[in-house]
Amino acid sequence: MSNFSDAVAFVNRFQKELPVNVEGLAGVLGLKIWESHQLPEGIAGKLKRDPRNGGPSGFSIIVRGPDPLVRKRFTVAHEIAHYLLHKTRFIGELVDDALYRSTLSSKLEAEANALAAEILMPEHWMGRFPSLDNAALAEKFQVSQEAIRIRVDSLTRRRALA
Amino acid sequence: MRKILSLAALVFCIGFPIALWEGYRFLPKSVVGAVPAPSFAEGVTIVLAALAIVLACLALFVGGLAIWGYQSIKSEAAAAAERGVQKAVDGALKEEIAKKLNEASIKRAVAREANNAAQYLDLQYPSAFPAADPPLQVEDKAIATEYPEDKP
Repeated sequence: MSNFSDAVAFVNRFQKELPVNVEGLAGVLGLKIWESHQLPEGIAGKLKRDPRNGGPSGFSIIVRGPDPLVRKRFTVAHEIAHYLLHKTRFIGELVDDALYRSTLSSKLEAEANALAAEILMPEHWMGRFPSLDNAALAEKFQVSQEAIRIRVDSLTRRRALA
Repeated sequence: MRKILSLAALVFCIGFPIALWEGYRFLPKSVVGAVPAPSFAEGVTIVLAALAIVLACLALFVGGLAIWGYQSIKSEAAAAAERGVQKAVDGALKEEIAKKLNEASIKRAVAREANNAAQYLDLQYPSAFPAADPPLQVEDKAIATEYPEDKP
């Protein structure tokens, strides 16, 4: 699945409730999630071809243990996005630094961020709570307020294009 | 062909009365003597009749010319109108096509810029999830178990 809209259609099937269960989505895809306290501060996480410890897909997602929960959720969503969109574009493992940059181009990283945002903050859920402010929305979606602000801005711009 | 016919009709109209008159003049005396000489009134009548015939032929010729001229003017006017309309339509079409092309290129440029802006926003997500001192409402907890290869 290398097409962004196909990937969105796929993840939309697993977004029946909030907050979105990213661990469940990873499980459906056969990805095993691990935490690591050995990852340095400059690394957010990685997607690893891991026949020994990986899930049925043969891949593991390893997130940095000391990171806050919402950041770990975003890291998992980001690595799921890489798995869905870019798994044929790297050998061994794909390591994302603290700014979610890797050996892939920034265009592909932006694409993974966009799909991660779609996983955590589904478009079909975003407009359902007009009375909630960003803080309440952040708690509902289990993301940061800044992420909510960026998501709303991004969706507004993309809708203006359509 | 039409011009030749018209010329022939004209020659006939003029030549016929002259030929009649000349034929009468060269008739043998015996024949002329047998016919009583026309009086002045008869002579005038004959000339006027011939003139009437000539004028009638001339009227027919002028009528033919008028019909031909009308048709020429009609077809020329139609062709001129067609050329004029074609020119006007071409101009309007060119203007409209240029406008559409311009609109399309503006739309493409706007879409490209908006897409770049959206991609720029996507690249901002990492900063929305800081690794330290998070201003978050959600309680931190483990999301998974420790990676076995990192365990001491």
